Amino acid sequence: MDSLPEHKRRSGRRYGGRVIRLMLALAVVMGALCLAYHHRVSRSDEADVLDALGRYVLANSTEGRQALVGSVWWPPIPTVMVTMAHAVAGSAGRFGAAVLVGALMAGCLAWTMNRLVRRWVPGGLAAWLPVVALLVYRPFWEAAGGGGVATLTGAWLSLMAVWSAVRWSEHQSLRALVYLGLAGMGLVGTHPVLALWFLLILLWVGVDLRLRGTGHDQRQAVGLLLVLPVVYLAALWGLLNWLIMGDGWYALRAVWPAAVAGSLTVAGWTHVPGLTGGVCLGLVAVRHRIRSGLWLSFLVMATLGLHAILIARGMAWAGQAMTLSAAVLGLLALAYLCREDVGMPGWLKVGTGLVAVVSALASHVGTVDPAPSATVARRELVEQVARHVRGTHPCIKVFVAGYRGLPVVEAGDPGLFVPSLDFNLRAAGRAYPGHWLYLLAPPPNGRTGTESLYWKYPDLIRHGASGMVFDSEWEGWRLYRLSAVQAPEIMKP
Amino acid sequence: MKGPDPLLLSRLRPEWSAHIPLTMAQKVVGLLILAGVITGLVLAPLAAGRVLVAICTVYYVAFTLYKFMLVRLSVSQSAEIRVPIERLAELHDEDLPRYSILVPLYHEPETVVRLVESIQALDYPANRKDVQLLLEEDDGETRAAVAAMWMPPGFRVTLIPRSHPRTKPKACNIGLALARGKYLVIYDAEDRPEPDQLKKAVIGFRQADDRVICLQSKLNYYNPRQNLLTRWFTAEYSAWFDLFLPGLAALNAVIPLGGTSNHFITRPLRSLLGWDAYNVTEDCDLGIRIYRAGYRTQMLDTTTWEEACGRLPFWIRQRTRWLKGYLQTYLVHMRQPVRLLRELGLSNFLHFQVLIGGLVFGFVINPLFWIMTLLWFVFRVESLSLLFPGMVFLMGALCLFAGNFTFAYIGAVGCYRRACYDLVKYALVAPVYWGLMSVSAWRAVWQFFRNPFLWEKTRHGFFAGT
Repeated sequence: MDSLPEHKRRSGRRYGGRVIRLMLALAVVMGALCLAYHHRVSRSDEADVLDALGRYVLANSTEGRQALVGSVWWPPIPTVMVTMAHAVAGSAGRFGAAVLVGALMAGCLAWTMNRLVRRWVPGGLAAWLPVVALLVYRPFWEAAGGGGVATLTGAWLSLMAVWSAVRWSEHQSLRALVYLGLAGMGLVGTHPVLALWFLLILLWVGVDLRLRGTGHDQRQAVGLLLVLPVVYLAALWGLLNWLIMGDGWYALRAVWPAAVAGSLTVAGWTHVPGLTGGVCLGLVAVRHRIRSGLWLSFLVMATLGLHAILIARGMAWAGQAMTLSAAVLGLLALAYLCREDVGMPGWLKVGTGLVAVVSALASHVGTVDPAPSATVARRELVEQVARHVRGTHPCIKVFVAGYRGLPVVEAGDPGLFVPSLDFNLRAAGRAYPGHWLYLLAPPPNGRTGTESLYWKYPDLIRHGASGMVFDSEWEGWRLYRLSAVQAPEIMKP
Repeated sequence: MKGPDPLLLSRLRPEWSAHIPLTMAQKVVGLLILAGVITGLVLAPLAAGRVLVAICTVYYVAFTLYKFMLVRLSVSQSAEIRVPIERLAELHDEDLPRYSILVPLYHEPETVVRLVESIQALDYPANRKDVQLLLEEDDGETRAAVAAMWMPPGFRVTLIPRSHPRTKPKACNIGLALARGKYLVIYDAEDRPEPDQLKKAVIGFRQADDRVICLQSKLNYYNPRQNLLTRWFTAEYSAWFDLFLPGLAALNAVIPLGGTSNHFITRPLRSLLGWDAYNVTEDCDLGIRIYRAGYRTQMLDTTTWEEACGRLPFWIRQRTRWLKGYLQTYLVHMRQPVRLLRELGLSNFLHFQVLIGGLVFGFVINPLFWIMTLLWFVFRVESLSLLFPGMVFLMGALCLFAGNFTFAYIGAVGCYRRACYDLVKYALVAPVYWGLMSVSAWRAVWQFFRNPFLWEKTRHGFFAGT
C-alpha cells in the first residue's frame, strides 16, 4: 500500500511526466541548436583548459592532481564534472564534455525554475516559459563554448540555496535544511565568491531560529547540518592542498590578485531588473510582514552588491557566475511577488512577468572573461617556441606554466614541453640535470594573473626574476631562460 | 503429547532455510572465484589488483548513490503509514480483533517485571491480548522470575523444549503455532512500545492493500545518552528506521525487517511457515520471503523503544550476529539467483544485492581501503596509485571524500529527524563506529564458517535509568 492518497500519486506522476517531457524537449532543442549553429560557437579558453585538465586528471598525473586543487579560481567541482563527462563522452567531437555538463546543468536550472514557478506563479510554467527559456539560453551557449560550466552550476546551486532557505523559513522542513546544506557545499567547490554569499543565508537561518525561540540543541543541530558540509569541503580542499601542494593554504594564496580592468559598463545595467524586483519585494514584504520575502529581497540585493564589489576590485572575470546568479535571484524575487499570499493585483502580476522577461533577456548581456591571447592557435605557438629553442643545446626542456599552459603542452612535443602548475626554479633544475631549461609563461591577464607563478614571482613579467632571464615573446606568452640552475657541474654530461 | 514443530520451514522448504549454510553449487562457485583471484594475483598481480579495486570502487559508488537516493526519497515524501489520533479515537473495543504478542526470553530475569508493565501499558483491551512469554525449558532463572510474579489476564507462558538450534526464531515458531490472534507481533524483553502501537497496526492493516501482511514499526533507543557507543547506535538506528526503510517503502521495495515490533497478519505468516530457525537474522530473511511470496511490508509510523547495547563486547557480539545473519540470508536467497530475479523483479533484485549482500561486503572490504588510504597519506606509498587507473582513481577519490561524508551526514540527518538534536554532533564522528562494524563483519564471516547457527545473546539491563 502506498500511504500517499491516490489523487496525489496521480498528480505526482502527471507532474513527473511533464517534467520529463520538458527536459526531453529542452535536450532536443539544444541538440538541434548545437548542430545548426555549432560554427558560430567558438570554444573558450576555459573550455580548452578544462578539457586538458580532465585528461591530466584521468591520466592520474601529478599535474592533474595539482590543477584539481591548486587554485580557488579554478575550483574543483566544475573540473570534476567535466572530467567525469570527459571519461564518459570522450573528447570526440567539437563540444564533448563541456556540452554534456552544460546541458545537464541547464536542465537542472530549468527544472528547478519550473518547479518554483509552478509553485509560486499562477498559470505556472505556461506563463513563465519564455523566462525560463531565456534564462537557460545564454548560459547554455557559454557551456557549449566551455566557459559556462561553473556559471551554470553556480547559478543553479544559488537558486537551490535560496529556494531552500525560503522553504526552511516557511516550513522548517528537514528536506529544505539538507538541500540548503548541500547547496552551500556545492557553492564552496564551484565559486568561492558565491560561498561568501552563502554566509548571508546562514545568517538568515540563524536569525530566523532566534526569532522563533528555537531551543539550544535544535539550533546547534541546524547549524551543524548547514555548516558542516561547507566546512567539510573547505577543510578537505585545504587537506588536499597540504598533501598535494605541501601548503594547506596554497589555493588561497591569490584570493585578491592584481586587479584587471574589464569593460563592465553594460553588465552593470543588466542588474537593473533584478534590482527592481529585489526592491519591490522588499517593500511589499515589509508592508505585509512576510519574513521570507524580506530575506529574499535582502539576498538579491546582497548578490548585486557582491558583484559590484568584484567589479570595483577589477575582478570582472570572477563575477561571471555572479551575473547569472543575480539574474536568477532577481527572477526569484519577481516570481515571489506573484505568489497568492503577497496579494498583488492581476495587472501587476502581468507587469511582473514582463519585467521577468526583460530581466532574463538582460542576463544575456554578461561579462566576458577577458581571455588573453591564449586562444591563438596553440600549435603555431609551440612550433615557434620549439624552432626558437632547438639548436641551442642537445637537451632542452620548456616548462609551460599555469592552467592555460596545460592545453599548450598537449599541442606540442611531449619530449620538449613540460606542464608545471607549481613552478619552482630549484626543483626544475634538480628534475632535469644536464638540460637547458626554459619557462614559457602566459600573460597574467584576468584569472591567469592569480596563478602561483605570479604570486611566487610577482615581478616576473615586469622585471624578470632571479635566475630567469627574459628570452622572447609570442602573442603575450613570454619565454624565460633559466640561468641559475645551469651551473657548470650540472652541465657536464 | 507432541508439540508444534519449530523447524517446519527447514523440513518442508529446505531450499529456503539456512540449515545448510552453503550448497554444493555455492561452494564450487566460491572456490572457483577464490582460485581465480589467487591465480590472478600470482600471475598478473597488477592487473588482478586493478580489477579487484575497480570492482570495489564501483560497489562503493553504487552504494553511496543508493543510500543517498533512499534518504532523498524519505525526506521528500512520506511513504509510511500514518494513523491520525482521530482515527484511533474512532476505534471501539468490540471492533478490535485478538492480538497475539510473542515475547521470547532467555536468561533475562531482570527484565520480566518491566516487560509485563510495558505490555500492560499497551492501549488495547486486556481480553483481546494474547501474550505468550516464550521461555526456554532449561532457563531456570527466568522461569523462576516469571513464576514469582502475578501474571495479568491474557498472559501465558509457553515453554520451548530444549533442542538444536537454540535460537529466537525457533521459539517464535512455537509461539506462532499456538497464537490465537488475527494479528501477531514480536517484542523483545526490553522493548517499550508506544502505547497506541497495536491500535495503529490494526488501522494500518485495514487501510493497507491486501498484499500487505507485515507492518514494521520504527525502533529506537531509550538510553541514547548512556555513553558514546549508545549515541552512535542511536544515530545509526535513526538513520536506518527513519530514513532508509521509509525510503525503501517509498520505492515499494523489499524491506529487511527489524528484530522486533514486526506486526503480522497471522494466517499468511503461517502459510510462509514462520521464521527460519537456523537463520540468526530471521527477521531480515522473513522480509525477503514475504516479498518473494507476493506479499508486501509497509512502515508504520510508531516507535518501539529499546535498550541500546552500551558495552562494547556485547555490542560486537550482537553486530556479529546481525551481519552473519545477513550473510546467511544472502546466501540462502542466492541459491537460485534466476528464480530470485524472477520473483523479486529486477529493481528489487538489485535492492537485495546492495542492501543485504552489499552491506556485509562493504564492512568487510572497508578496512582494506582504510589501510591503503593510510599508507598513501602517511607513507606516500606511490605504488598504490598504480591500482587506481584513470576513472577508478576519480571514482575512488569521490568515494573517499564524498562517500564517507555522505554516510556521516546521513547519520546526522537521521538524528535530526528523530529530534535527537544533541546527538547530531556525535553522528559526525561515526567513522570510528564504522571501524567497529568492520571488526564485527570479519568476525561474522569467520563465525559463518566456524559456527553458523551460534546465537550470541545480547545482554540487556545495564541501563538503570527510566
